[in-house]
Amino acid sequence: MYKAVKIIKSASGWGGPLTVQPTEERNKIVSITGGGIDPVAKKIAQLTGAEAIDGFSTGVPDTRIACVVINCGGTLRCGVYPKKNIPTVNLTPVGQSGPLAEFIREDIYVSGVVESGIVPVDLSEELVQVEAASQEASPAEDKPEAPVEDSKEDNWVTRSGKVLAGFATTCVQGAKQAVDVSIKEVIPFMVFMSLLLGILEYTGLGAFLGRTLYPALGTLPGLLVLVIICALPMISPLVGSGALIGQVLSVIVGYGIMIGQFPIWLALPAFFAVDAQVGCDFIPVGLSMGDAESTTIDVGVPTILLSRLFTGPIAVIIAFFLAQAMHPFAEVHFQIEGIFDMIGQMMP
Amino acid sequence: MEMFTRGVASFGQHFIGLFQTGAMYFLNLFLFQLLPWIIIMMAFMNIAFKLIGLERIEKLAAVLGKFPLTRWTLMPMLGMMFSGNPMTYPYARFLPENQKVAFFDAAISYCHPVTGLFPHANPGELFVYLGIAGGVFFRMSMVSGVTMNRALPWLYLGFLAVQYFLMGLIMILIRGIVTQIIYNIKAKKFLKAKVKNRRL
Repeated sequence: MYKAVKIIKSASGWGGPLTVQPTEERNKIVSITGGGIDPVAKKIAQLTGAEAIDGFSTGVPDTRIACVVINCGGTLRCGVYPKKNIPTVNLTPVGQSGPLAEFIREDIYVSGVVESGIVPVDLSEELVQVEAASQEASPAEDKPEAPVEDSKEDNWVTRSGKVLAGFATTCVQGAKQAVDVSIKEVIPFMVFMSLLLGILEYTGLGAFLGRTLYPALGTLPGLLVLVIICALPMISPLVGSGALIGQVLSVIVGYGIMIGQFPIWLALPAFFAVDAQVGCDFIPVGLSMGDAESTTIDVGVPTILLSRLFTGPIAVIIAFFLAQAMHPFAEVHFQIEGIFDMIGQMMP
Repeated sequence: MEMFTRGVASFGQHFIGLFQTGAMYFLNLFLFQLLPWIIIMMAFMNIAFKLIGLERIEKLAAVLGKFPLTRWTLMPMLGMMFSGNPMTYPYARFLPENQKVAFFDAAISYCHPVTGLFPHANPGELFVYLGIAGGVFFRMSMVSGVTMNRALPWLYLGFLAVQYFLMGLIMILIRGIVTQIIYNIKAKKFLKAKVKNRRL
């Protein structure tokens, strides 16, 4: 009598796909989304034939629940139901998070679900592909405010509560994301760059570069040579990969500034000198992300590589004169006139 | 034996010292100074831009794409701030086919200048900015020790970030214009070659 449905995550979600099959015993779709029955829960109920229940106003024993629909921002609810082995549908796109994160597994939990992500099982085979395609086309669905839909019957207390909860979730999510990204993306690079700086300093390579490379590099012709090498169409796709070469060059220039062998006011043109090759390895992928046709990509790759050869040096030249014009004012503004000479004498 | 002992000790000392120097930079420059600032800044950006919402910005970007000047400056800038590094390139779908290449070139060229003020846009490639900026910061810390002006490194870092941000806008404008011109020429040639091939 009850039909099974397949629940698929949206582009920003995690886990799943989840198949929910209500039985005579377990036939309640419980919506615990802060008042009211969420459209997602309604749709699941409609497709399966089970009954949707507002879990906030009506208590349901765990043994009667076919699946729960929650809008947890990653603290508790998202772990509680998976721990009880109840299929859990989270409207907020959160992955394994919170104190019960270890119980959140892909076979019991799916997050970032929207209404179009719910399909009857007998249709699901061909719909999965359509779904995947439409997800790629609209990656904009990570707004936590999304579930605040059927609020017509809600009074202002419920509504403002929902808005506040959404706001708080967004704040905590943003902070969490910042920490995650720092640990996964930023700190590894800091470690790598520290290693590079340590080797430059301890082996004397930095001092050697200070006598040979930096005085030559710290002039307009030096920077132009660097930018032209980086922008050569044969080289730029190779050194563009992952911006790694750009980052290493940037740290080497930074070390020159640190030991005072590279003029500090040339920092601005140096930014553009080390980065003329940005994204040159990524052109076909990036263009196809923007739905460009294959002929456009064929023409576009050599176009951009050639363009870099002109625009790289132009940017360095403009930045050089801009920096030169601003330098005297900056020195006065920051009250650091003549200080660099003093430090230069102090440094070995 | 004494020679041997001395050799072992010296090797050990220098081997450890190599990484000790790196650790000094890691702790004093990156972990204590720059990382907390980056985390707090990224947290704020994540919250602020999520609250503003992506849909509104995409609508605005579609409008900005209609004018050449904004297509190569404000559109990539907004895209980077709200969608970040890889997700800005799909904005090209708002544009006609012959403008996509120039937009992409402008957009990807802005993925580093934006990190000085908005590090959340491209956290994986922060060091294109932070390599040089970290050197400037370290140098300015020495100056601030001499002048007793403790805020100086941060003031100069902000100065540098704004410079990079604005000069980046100028650069992507130039890049957009030049790439569009080259693309027009190349596309015309490509089309001619195609017609010729068909005739043969």
